[in-house]
Amino acid sequence: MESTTRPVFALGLSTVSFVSYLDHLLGSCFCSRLCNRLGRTARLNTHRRAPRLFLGLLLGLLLAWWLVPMASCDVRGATLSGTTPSETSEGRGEQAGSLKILPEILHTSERYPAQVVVLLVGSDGAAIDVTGQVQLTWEAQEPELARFEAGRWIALRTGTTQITARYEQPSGSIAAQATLHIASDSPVAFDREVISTLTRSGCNLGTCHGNLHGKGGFRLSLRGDDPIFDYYRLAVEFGQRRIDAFDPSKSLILTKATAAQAHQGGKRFSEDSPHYKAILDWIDQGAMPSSAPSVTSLEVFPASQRIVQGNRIARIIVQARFADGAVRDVTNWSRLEPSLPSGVEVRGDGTIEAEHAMDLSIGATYLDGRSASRIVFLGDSSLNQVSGLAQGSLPGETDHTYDHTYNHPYDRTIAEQSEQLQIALADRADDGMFIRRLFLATVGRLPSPEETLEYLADRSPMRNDRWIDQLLADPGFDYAWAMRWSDLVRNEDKVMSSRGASLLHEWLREQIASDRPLQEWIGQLVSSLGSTYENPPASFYRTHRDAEIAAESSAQVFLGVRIACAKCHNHPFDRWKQDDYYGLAAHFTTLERKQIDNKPKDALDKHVITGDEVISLSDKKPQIKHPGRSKMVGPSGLGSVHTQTRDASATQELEPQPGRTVLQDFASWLTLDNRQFDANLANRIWYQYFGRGIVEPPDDFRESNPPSNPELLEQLATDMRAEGYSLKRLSRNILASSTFARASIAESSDENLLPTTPYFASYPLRRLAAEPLIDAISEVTGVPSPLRTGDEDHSTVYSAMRMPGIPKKPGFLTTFGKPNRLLVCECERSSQISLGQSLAMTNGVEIRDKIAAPGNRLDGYVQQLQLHAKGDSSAMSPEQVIEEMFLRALSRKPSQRELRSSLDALEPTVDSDRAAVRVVLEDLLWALLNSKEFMMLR
Amino acid sequence: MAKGCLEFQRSIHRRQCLLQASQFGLAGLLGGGLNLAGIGSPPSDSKPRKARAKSVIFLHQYGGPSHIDTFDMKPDAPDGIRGEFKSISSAVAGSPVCEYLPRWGAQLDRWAQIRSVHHDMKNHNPACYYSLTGKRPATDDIRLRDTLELFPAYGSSVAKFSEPVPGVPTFVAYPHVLRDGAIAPGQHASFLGKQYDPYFFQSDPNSAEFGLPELQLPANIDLARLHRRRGLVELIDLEKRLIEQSSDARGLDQLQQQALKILSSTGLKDALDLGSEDPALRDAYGRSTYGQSCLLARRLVQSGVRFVTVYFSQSIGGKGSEGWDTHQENFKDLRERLLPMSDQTVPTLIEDLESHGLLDDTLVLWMGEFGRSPQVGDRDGKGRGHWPDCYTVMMAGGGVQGGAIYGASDAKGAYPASDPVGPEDIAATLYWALGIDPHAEVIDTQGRPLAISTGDPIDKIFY
Repeated sequence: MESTTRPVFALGLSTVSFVSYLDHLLGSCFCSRLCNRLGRTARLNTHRRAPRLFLGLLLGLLLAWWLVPMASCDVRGATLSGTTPSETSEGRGEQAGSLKILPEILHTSERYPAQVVVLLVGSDGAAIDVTGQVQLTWEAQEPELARFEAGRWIALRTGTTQITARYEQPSGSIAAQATLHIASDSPVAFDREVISTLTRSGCNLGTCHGNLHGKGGFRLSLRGDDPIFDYYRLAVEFGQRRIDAFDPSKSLILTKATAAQAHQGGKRFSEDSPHYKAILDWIDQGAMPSSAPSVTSLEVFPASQRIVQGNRIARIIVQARFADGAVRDVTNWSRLEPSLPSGVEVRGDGTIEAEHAMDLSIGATYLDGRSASRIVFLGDSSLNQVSGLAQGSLPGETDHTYDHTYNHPYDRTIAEQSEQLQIALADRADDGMFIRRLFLATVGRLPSPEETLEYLADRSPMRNDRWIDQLLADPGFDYAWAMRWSDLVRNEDKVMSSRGASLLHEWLREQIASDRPLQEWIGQLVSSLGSTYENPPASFYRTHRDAEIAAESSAQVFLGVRIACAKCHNHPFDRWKQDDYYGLAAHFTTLERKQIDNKPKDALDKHVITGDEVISLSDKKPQIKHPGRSKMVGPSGLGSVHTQTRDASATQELEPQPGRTVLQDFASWLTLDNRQFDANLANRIWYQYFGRGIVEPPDDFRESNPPSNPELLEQLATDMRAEGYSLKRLSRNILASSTFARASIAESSDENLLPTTPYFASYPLRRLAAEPLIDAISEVTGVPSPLRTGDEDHSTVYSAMRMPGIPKKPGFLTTFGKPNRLLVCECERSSQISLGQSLAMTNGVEIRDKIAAPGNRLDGYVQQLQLHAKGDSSAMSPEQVIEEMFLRALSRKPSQRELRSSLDALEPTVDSDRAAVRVVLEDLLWALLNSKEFMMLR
Repeated sequence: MAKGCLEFQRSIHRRQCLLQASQFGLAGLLGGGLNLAGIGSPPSDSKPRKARAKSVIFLHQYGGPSHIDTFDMKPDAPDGIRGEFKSISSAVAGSPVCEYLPRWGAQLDRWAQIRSVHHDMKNHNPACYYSLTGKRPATDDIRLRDTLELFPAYGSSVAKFSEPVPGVPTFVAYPHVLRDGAIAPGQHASFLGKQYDPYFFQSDPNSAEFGLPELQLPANIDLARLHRRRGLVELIDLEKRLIEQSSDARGLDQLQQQALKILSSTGLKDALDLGSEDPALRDAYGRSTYGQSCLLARRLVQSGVRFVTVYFSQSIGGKGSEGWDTHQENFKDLRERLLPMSDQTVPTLIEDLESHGLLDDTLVLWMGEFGRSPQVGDRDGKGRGHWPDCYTVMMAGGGVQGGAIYGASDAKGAYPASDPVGPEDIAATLYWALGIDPHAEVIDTQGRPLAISTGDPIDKIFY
């Protein structure tokens, strides 16, 4: 990447009046108006109104300079960037106890002394961090250049030397070599040392001074996003209170940060830290808004590591490469954030201490650079031998063989990872568990007693394949996915009209039923125009009604990335910039919507559109105002904007192709050869069958939220391409794996073990979703629920799984978390449990009515039992009734104990009146519905 | 001093500064600060104040009650602003109240008034959302949509940060769903998750049939039968031992036990049994939905519920129906319906809480989504329009200093004259009063860490 120099514009900033306009523009335009979701707006108007056109332009230019280049990271290339733990060791063939230095090329200078990580790597690739151990000694080939002291290479003279680490073991010593470059430092620069200190020390976090309203009257840009703004706040605002040119050490910025003066945020760095010295030097040198070469890439060493059980310390090193070619160890100047909220301590020098076994990633932020490193602190594998339920007589025993002979590639990948992480693989699910799971996960209903019995009786080795194929061809499969996609594209009655919702639902169902390539129909969905009644896929822009929402939604639904943060400021936890956000949004700026017969009952409710709507594109140039650059920008795909130069006009906008619409261009960019699109789809399909994504949550792909098993995700994405984006074929691949057929096993509460479900070493247990739950209750009781959606045509369906829109009124389905389809987030569907749900299940009107309803299944049973009591041998016996009730509700026969207990209650009544029989059956039915086994998918 | 204060208005010191002003006897001149008339000696500013409330009763008056016609009377304002009502003296010297609030006025020394609340949402639903959550909506959309991106209700945040009390829900809300065309957001747990939703019902506590069907066992199911059913569930659950295996299953089981406990025991069910209350007390509260709802609030707090929200009406109302949106016939509606009902019910609630020894532990909040325009003459010429720019919020109990007046409106009641307060600060105050960190962090649907309130607690009105 070419180097850039940043013009000095101290002059421009030197007048207070100008800066006060910057303040005004930045303060009011940027965040108050655009980002008021993040905080509240200024309470009282400042009544400062002045012509701002010229200043706005100037500001735009300055910002354009300042928006620091990022590595050109096209989303397509960078998607599966998580690395596996196995990569650390680079080779399973290494001898036990080989020594490894990271990074292999070190850079040191006075201000940025190089730290180093030394790993003792075992034959299985798991390592021990020996960096701080006394058995480790260092020597430099040219000792006059640098010396090793307190974990760092101290620069003595510039140059390059080889360094050797030697580790003494009882069996002899082992050594490893690395190269060390020693360089000199450039003067302290505001936007390098000062900004990185503020970020590293947490001063500019959203919870501190980075808040929209600052803290204690002092406000900074969020995570150092905006150096101009920060310069003003530090050096200009309040005269020179925050920096003291006469006595720099008396500057508030230093006395507060070192807690020498009362500071609510406590001590952020100490007086002997390099950060203190840097800020002191900067003030001493005139506190200029000086600039430094920008960061072109940030790398964390090691990218991933597995730490042997019993060792709870790991280290990472962060290296930044600058536009002038310099490389520095910025570990101490980076903000390091763990992906887990507790149980781990991350120190400023890159030392990570874990309290127990865990798999986490550490996100590193240094100025504009972002990177992440994955660390697995292995669990105690000896515990696996007695863990889970393996000791009892329960199903779901664990498999310790890590059988590498699995036929299925997903199983092999998962077995490999489980072995590396030393977690136990759950055994196969028992037959009853499997068939119930297969039905619920694919068609959203329970198998009938006949289907369960048929499956149980089938001894053919191809039995699962046959059932999987049968269910993939079942209309229930199409409905299940039409519902999922209706959730994701927000197919809700108010904006779609009931007819529109039904038509879109039906169109989605048809795409699934005909197994049209996902890529193809999604491309059509995001580029269709015309009447939403005549051309239902045009509805996507009926539900996503403005350019910014369409951009956020399509990124989240089809790419699994959340870009909303980048609307107001560069994304604090991800690489998305405002350029990405507005480039994507620009695609949707020329959409026009014409209502044909809009007669909402409430004229004020702009969210309700009745009748048809016609979606079209105007002839205008698609472009949108980029508030950061204060200019109009044209369409570009995420990650495709080149920001090496500060000249915004150099961004590569997608040029509209002749004869193609901007939406067709978008569709092509989105769906063709876009690895993030593939990864997201693969992950969402996996999520459907496991209730958990490989990236979890499934719509939050982020460097700092890596896939739990990157190879598996890559494999699925590759398969999907190989299978021609066929949902049914990819589904078959997944469902036919041993992984899908693993038992659900106990969650261990032992912190010395890694959990199993994130790695799919066991099947995740979860509560049934709202729709399959109500349908199952209807099926088991024999009383369907009429479900009405929408206002217009009062259509009634009797299966919640087949409902096109959303319920007209809150009720059972909403209590159990059916989404209202107002968000594209998977999180809108709640899988949580609540007291309201328990009251609904134990004493709710639906359950009560269905159990008590005349003519429900119990009536039939009562009749059969009475006939049987009278000697009719063709009628069902008490055993048969109980067995059928269990089969229907739980897809298994009752155990001896359950049967005995049920018979004890039932048998004495069969000779008496119907009512007495019915009471017993009602109680059993209630108990079956309220059993955890019924309410959960496992 | 005044100069110093102005300079610091934007900084965190501004309240301290004004409080000092009031201590120096300049309160009258500045028209602001904390007026502690009727109280022995003003507490010194450095005195650490302690959160002492255990519960909150949140009385929400949908539609927007007029501040000028209730507690922030402007007897010296011109005709078109002063309105038709006379002011009468109250238990707090220098703080007259409306002639139609005599009982409330007589116990005004139990209340703190915050007279400088303001925001910028002019429509009911966005303003309502703001008042129910302390979070400013992104747009003043008249039909603001209720999505999971929006902030949770106060009670839900309280539930999130409180230890549950066995046998009762933490947060109960009733007897209306607020809606103005569309359901007003802010009435549930939103992104906090369903486990923090209020226990909500629409059944009318004033109705003879008041009861909650899901809490009443059907006639043919007695406790013995319920017990038998639970035994059967345990038998089936034992088979696959899911409760041992999964925290979700464990949670389901615990909630099921809690539901059965509620069904088969006293606690919540008893609290809801208004029939067991002394008819004289029921009469004192007023035989209205609001009156009986407030009585129920006291009973719920007594049973251990931490946060009770009583909605005055389901719609904004006005024109003689339901709510407080008095665009027309403002004075007639207040005089004949809204003020008499409030004057009967709210003071009775305070007295009742006190006689049960609950007032010290229970913070009572009385407010709407905004105030009403100083200028009379909306629509029929006799109404007042929406006015978010300045209004009054009332607080009592839970450690509040009776008689305190925080902030002030200008001569017309149009804008804060001192100590402007946002709904954020009201939110922060009630969290603070309960001992919950007002800036405690929650995670929204986008994974963003957000503070439950961005405001500052007005702890100066507490002992």
